[in-house]
Amino acid sequence: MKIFRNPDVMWREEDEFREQAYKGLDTGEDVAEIGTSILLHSGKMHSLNVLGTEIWKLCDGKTPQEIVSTLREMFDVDEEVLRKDAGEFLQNMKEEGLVYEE
Amino acid sequence: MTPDNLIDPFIVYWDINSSGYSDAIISIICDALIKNKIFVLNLRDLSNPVSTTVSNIIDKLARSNIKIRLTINHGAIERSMIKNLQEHGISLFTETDSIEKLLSVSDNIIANVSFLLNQKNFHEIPAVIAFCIKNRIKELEFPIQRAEEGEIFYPAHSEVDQLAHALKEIPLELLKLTVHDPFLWKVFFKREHLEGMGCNGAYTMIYIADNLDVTPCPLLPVTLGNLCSETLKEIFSSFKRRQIRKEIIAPPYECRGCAIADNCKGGCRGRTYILLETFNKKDPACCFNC
Repeated sequence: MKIFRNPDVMWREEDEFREQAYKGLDTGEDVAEIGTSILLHSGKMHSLNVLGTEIWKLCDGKTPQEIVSTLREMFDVDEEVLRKDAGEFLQNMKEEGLVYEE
Repeated sequence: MTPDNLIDPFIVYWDINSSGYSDAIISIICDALIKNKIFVLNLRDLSNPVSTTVSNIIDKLARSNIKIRLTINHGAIERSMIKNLQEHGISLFTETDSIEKLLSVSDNIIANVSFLLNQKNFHEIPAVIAFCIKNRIKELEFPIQRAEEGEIFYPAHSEVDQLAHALKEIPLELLKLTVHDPFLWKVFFKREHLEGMGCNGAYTMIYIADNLDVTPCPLLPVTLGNLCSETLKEIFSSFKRRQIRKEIIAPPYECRGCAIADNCKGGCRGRTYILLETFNKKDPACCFNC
């Protein structure tokens, strides 16, 4: 099962907030509330934090397992925790019509 | 999102001056729209025929990811124009303010409809929707009123109730509807509350007037800057924008005690500002009993 971004979704990374979030990660701060990208779909705006943004960017035909493996290289988080968080996040995005499976 | 960590707007409304702009100005603005990663540009040109400025802007944005929605005068539409714009992926709307005008040229209409509401035509809404469905028009928009274009209209509560009753008989799902007015939105989309709503002026959207003044919204005439002398980025980053945003998101004093004030945040802030000359009163069109 591969995950793809819905091409109708308009999105952009917020460079300033992205920089702020990565600086925070380096110093061990909680950056979960910093929105580093914005998605616009069907008139609804979604703001994703740094982990959400990286997952979103990886939805280019990768499987959930491939996404988790790539995230493991980027974030110092336990694999089980990452799998659970990414799985829930992908499910939410699917329900919102932001991604689809093939 | 607080005023301190404001994102830059991603929806821009731009009303074109019929006299046009210099090529240099158009280039500067279009480059800024691309650089600032704008998602949607709502262009509006009511001159007849449509000015060459529009095609100039479209050409300059052709290779960008910006989605363009173009609204033109109902009388200015031509078949060749529709084909050309469709090839560029542009959504074309024709603006009108009466069902009579829509009916008079129905054979030519393939575009979407922008129906500008006023006191005289509010009761025509069900007929306009029925017309659009019958003619397989994809989108119907009730556009944001322009602060500088005549009297600010809002319907009486009894008229809103009549509309809600009439809409029960209409299959709205056959049409993509864009409704900006928060209280009409509630009627069309049958929501009890305005969850997560509130004015987006100077937040996700901004308005470029025909003289290139930048304001939070077409209906909120507080100038944040002018694109002849400032860049879009400077205006986005300005103290003025943060300040006006702070005022917009603070629920009006009159709304204290209202159960939905934190979501609604006072309804249409531009309408209140124009009609009551303050942000601290509730929207005159408010249909909630607080």
